[in-house]
Amino acid sequence: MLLDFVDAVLTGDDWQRREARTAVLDTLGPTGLVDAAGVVANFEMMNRIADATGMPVGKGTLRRTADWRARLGLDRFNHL
Amino acid sequence: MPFDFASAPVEVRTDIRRLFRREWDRLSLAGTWWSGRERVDIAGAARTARFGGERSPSALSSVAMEAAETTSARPASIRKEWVERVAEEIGFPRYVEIVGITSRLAAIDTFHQALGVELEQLPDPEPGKPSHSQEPQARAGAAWVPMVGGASITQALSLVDAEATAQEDMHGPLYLTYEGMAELDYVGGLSRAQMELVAARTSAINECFY
Repeated sequence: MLLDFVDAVLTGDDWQRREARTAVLDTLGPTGLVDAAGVVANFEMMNRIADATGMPVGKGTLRRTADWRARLGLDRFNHL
Repeated sequence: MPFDFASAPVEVRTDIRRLFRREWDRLSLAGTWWSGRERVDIAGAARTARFGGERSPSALSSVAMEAAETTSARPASIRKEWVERVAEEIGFPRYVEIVGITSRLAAIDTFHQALGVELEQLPDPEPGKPSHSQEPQARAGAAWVPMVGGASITQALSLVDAEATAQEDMHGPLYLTYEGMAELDYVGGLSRAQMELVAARTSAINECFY
């Protein structure tokens, strides 16, 4: 339900957004809906800042995640 | 009054409404490197690039317009060479201020979309001159723009202190404060796990590899 909400907000039309909003509201209540909207909004900001400034992933994070990045094949997405 | 969210399906917290009003004030006033008129024009170009519509007349240079449009609507397409080319034309500080303006506008507009509320009309610009305040401690490093200290997302806009401050101001009410991010058992309207799920999905859709 939360994933559907994010998808609808960022890629959906008005009808899809309304449906997804109603689902979150029915399940998590008004504060859940506002918080979900806030988190999407915040990462819309942070994603743009990271992309526009060329923010590298920290060495500590790279070290800690090396094993599961290799297992999931995520290193092939290193486009920078 | 702007940001009253009268048509929202739910009550929006006062700290978020206050935050957005403060951001509108910031947008309308002269910043560090751009005037109020230019800052509002940057926001207008960013919004048009993202949602469509006619470009409004503006005195911004074509490179500044391109920076506003790209950071707003096509951030995943940005590469180091492009940032260097833009910075060669307008300088890193002006570029960083554009990134601050367009990224916070994206947050505010997305919040409205998420709640099914019409976007707020951009503010009228206020007179005044940019401060041209320098950040002497900023240095080139592992990221593509100079910043204070090592490359870190919380320092990303620190070349222009006012923009870094505005970023931090936005981060707390919409998500968690920088200090609060260490609280892995935080529970508000969403649990911390639910927040991270929403954050990860947003970043995946945006193809943000950071």
